[in-house]
Amino acid sequence: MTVAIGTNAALPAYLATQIGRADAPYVVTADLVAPLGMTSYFASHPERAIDVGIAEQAALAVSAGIAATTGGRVIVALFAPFFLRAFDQIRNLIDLDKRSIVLVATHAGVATGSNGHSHHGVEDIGLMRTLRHATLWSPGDPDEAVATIRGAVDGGGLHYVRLTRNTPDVDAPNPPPMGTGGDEPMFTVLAHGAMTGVARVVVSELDAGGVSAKFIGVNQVHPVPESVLALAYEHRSTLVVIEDHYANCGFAAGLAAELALAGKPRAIRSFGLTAPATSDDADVLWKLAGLVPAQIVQRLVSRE
Amino acid sequence: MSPTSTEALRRSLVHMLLRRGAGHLGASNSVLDIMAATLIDVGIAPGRLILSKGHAAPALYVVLAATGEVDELGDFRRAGSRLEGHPKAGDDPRVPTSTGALGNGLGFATGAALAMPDKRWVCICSDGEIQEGIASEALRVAGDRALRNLTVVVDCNGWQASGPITEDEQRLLEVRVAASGCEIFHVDGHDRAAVAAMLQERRRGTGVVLAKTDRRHGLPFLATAAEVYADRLTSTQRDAMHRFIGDGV
Repeated sequence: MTVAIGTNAALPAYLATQIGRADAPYVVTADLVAPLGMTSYFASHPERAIDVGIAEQAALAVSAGIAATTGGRVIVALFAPFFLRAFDQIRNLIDLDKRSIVLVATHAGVATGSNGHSHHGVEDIGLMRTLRHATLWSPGDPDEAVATIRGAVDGGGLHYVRLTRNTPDVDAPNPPPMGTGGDEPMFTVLAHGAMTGVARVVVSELDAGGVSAKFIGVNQVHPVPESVLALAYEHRSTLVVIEDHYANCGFAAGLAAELALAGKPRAIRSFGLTAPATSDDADVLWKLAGLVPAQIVQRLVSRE
Repeated sequence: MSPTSTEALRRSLVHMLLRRGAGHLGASNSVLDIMAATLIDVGIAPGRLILSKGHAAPALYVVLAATGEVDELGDFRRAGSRLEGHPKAGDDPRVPTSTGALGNGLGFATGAALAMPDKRWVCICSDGEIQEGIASEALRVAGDRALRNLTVVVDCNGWQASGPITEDEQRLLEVRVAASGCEIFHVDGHDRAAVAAMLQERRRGTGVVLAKTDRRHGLPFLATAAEVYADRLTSTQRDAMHRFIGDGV
């Protein structure tokens, strides 16, 4: 398994559509103008583009001040793990005070590969899920990512949009297979972000092996969409979640918590990281984490 | 050529990054002579050197290899290797703390120097890194406690990810350090003897050495001082690096 371009490019693609607009959003970053592809936007809107230097806590506090005085249309763009450095500012200045800010978290998951654990964003969903007013997104492809950022900026409120540098380069069927088992497949496979293609392949391979399965791509990972909860309530197929995140605190954990709170607990087969990843190329790290389609299919079929 | 010579270390650095195709060449090169002065010339134990600018890990590994501390440069950034993209402590006594999130190493070094006043500690950070709030907070504590056993060396290569550090920002750095109560010194960061002498000087309190460096130093094939990432080398850069290490391209 090799790697393909991920969704990071959605940020500069969205910003390119905003250049010259009277309502162009404020964009705050911490020494990541060029690495995040924002050079053109920063040159075009110097009055609304703020690089605070290597100072993530300042980036979030500054954005809160801008949001409070302008009413919104504020983006903060950082690597996903670097947002964790400013969680206090997110919690107290942004979430508690209900500011309208879109946190665009690039380089999520282990796709930063050989940079190692300090640069892997593998616990961000777990932490951001604790915010009271945040909606968390993890789009599966660049087009969906652009639309997500646009919707978040235009819609107001606090959003965390999770993007990735790379995704596994898999030959994912499109549209995804719907399974051979009618309305009650044996497995319902949910995935978000970088693992979307992997989940499609898993369903396809299960399907080819005569095991009924259904794919559900999840963009909004928190709060868990009503449609996903309803499906989990109503169907008895085994729920499977695949994510490039710690398995015990990501979307799977959020889904399990929502179901438990509703008094309808369900077991979930969760595929994700169980320990900090090491330094290596992203495809190697996904394989070490058991996130290759063949590994997942084998474990599902053998009921490991 | 001695394996600990400046030239040999620089070739080893280029060779390692070229072979792996990953890592920060410019930031590692700018700090290489400071690292060599610290670990080789002065003989600071690796376990008492905190590389706060963790993205320069290749410089640390190359120097450790030259002193026989590691022998797996070929495994750099590979699963199972101790030589991670950014230093990771784990059970390795040669890496006192994991770094990669900028600024944190200064706080760790301050704590270590407080707790072990009979041991000498060195913390190497970058000039851009001083912009982090935690860096100023840690320096204030270090300055206030007058830690004679702690020297902070700032690799002033004049660049950060978004571009060159402005002269105003460089002045601010010095103002911040001065306000912390630490003693400030200046040195040419590529003059190993001068850096070594600075590290061995007796002090009244916590010393901060502002070491002027250049990411291109000794690497004539680098056209600019902007960072060169080994996973994004052009064929021209790759050929030039092969010629530099003398493997006949």
